[in-house]
Amino acid sequence: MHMKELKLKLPLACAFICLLQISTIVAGAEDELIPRYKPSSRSAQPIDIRTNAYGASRDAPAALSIGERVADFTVPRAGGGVVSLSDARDRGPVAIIFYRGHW
Amino acid sequence: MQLGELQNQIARFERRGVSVIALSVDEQAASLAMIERLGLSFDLGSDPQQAIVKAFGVQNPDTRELAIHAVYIVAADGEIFYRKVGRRRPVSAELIDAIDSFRGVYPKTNEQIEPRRRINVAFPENNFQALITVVGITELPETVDPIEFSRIYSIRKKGSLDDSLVAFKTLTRSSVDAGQQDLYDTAAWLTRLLFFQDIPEALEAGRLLNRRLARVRELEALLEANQSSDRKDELLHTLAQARAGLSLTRAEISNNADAWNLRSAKTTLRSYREVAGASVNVRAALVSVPEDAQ
Repeated sequence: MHMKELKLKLPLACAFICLLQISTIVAGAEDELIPRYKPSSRSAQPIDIRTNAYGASRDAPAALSIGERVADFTVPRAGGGVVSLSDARDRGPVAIIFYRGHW
Repeated sequence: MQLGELQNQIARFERRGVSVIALSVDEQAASLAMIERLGLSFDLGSDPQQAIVKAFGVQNPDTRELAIHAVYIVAADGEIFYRKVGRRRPVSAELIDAIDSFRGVYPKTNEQIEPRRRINVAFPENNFQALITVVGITELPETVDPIEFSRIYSIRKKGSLDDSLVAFKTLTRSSVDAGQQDLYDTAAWLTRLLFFQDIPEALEAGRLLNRRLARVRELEALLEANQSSDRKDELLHTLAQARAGLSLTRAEISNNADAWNLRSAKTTLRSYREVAGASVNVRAALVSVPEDAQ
């Protein structure tokens, strides 16, 4: 290997290592930007809320998981008319809440 | 997820173009009462046959009539990117975080958080109201079937509040002669038997609280009517004494709140009353539907 070539490659290698380090730091910073909550009041640590483990329940092992697609539904709406998931999806994301109700 | 809390923060969902759909097994008439009470602006859907509940796999294993509490958020293409099934109920802030994170703008720091809004709390609001209500009922209303009533009592004694609420709902439907007040009285009588049968001192404290409260109100009215008379000073003095007595009774009840399980009694009474209120609404709605429309 010629000396001249080495001189040229050394700064390049340094730059590459520096870039690697920077990207690790950035990844570390991204790691901090994950929304974390405790799954239950007895949980020891807050965990990433975007994972299936976070929202899983022993009482509902077959509950739909993250990444699965929800089938559209249309149900009667309190106050008249219907509520349709596909209509709501046309406007963007949809939060679907199952609550106990009063019966 | 408490729907009132969600409503409080609904503007943050709207700003992100996120719709909210709340589903329950309630009949629509029952949901209407809640919409009114909490001032809800998002859609409440009715899923009485649990078709959607089953499709999501969130049936309640203990009470097949109900869903487990669950929140899902799907993207515009229908793919789930957040879920929370059972366990601790998420608050709005958490859902907003999940949405922002999904869109790659988490955390959004410059957003104004809506201030807390006072929500109408259902009756009874506090332990004192609950105790007074329970003390005021000394027997089961005649319009209610005592056999069905004792069945609910034993279900609740064995454990599940939810199961007993379902049974209570059945009772409110079958006791067609019982009016709203009768059903509320039934709820109070049930709570009294469940919680205070073996605690006569709690009932005694409740009766005393009721008497002293009535006395204070009476004196306040008297004072109002005698603002410019020469009895005013004497009334002020008597009122101060009556208020002191009332505080003593309140303090005694507060000190015993844990021992007498008052919080739980209050929640139980409220739950039964809500079922009673909802059933009356449903009955009214059924009556108002013309026959040829059924």
